[in-house]
Amino acid sequence: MTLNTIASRGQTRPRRFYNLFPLRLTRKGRNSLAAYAFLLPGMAFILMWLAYPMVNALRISLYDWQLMPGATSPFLGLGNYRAALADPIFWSSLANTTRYALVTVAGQLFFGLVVALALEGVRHARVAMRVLYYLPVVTSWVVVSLLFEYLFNSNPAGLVNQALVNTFHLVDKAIPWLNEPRTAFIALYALGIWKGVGWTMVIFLAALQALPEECFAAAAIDGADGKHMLIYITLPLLAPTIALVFVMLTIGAFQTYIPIALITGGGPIHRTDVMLSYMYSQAFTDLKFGYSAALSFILAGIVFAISQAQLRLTRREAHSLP
Amino acid sequence: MPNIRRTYLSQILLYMLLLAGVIATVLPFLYMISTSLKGTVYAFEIPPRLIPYHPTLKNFIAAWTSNRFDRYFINSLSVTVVTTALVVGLGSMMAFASSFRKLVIKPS
Repeated sequence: MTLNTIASRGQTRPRRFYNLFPLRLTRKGRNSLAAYAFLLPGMAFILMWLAYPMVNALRISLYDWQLMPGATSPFLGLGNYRAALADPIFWSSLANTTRYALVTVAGQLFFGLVVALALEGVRHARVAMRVLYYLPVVTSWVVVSLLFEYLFNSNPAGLVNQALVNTFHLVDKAIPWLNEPRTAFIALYALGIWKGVGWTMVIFLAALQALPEECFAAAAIDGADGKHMLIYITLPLLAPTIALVFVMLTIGAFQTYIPIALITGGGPIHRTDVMLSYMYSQAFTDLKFGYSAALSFILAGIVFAISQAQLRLTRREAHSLP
Repeated sequence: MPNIRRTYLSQILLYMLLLAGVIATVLPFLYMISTSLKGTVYAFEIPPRLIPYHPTLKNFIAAWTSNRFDRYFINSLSVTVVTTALVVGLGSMMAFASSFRKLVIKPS
């Protein structure tokens, strides 16, 4: 018997299908019980795999943590955190991370916006180009890292070296890209931007297609040309989207690990380490788990502070616009 | 988006810009495909070619028949299936729960 037939006979009110608990409760009580029942499995997972490890990591960060069962771990208090602040490699890896974030976020924002605007301006082959630009986004980080390691090979036969030396004659001899921190980071920046442009492009395209048509019609009546529309209408209307993408990309850039681990391994002697790769090497190569856990909380604090600052700044900017 | 006046010149410039971007995006993939069809000795040939000189499928055969390729594939597959099922299942349950008004604290 369906709910409708019961209701139409007027015998009982149709039962809510989430009345899972035949207890004597008010409807509100039943509903909240059902809601918590639906929340429970997910919350259990979050507690087990997110909250518990985080609390545990916080505890570990206060000790000189020993892996050996039975070994006593000396309590250090904030010793690990103080050690990090005095550690030159911590500062250099933080600087590397910051530079990586600045360059790749700017590059992804710029190229993603340019490609999205250009795609909106043309009529043909739009879907095909969107697919091609999105290709790096759906490819595994491991695959593209190894691919770029191959392209930026120090060997004269590496594709980038070949292009620079023999095709465009920009440099005289092959550059040992991955042997020097400075040039290795150029390869890493290129990879980070190349892989991320498709994602920013898609977000900007979605935002562009949702812009109100009336603004442009009004501007056209007032005699605005394409350039003016771009500067005074499109970009200001996009400001909230740009802010969102900016924050998301920055958080992502501070968490970069796979390309560094696979292409340079942080070497030579930690000079290309970023925060995460340094953290990993401290934990799983040097077995300093307490120190590494402290680093992870410092990084979490930095990322939190930066994203809060960005949200605040960009929000004010978005409000101040006409 | 607006009806920016489409002149032929601006259209040509836009297409050239987009084409340059597409080439930069796709070229590494093309080179990867081309390298996968080259024998080992040609992987570092000078000058590198996009069209392999002696194309061969033996890399693909070697990968397919390498030690425990099936095992690696099944490992990836099982991780994918289990995580997708859990994320969709638990996620939709929690989303449903948070649709009960005033009972659950929603993220603002």
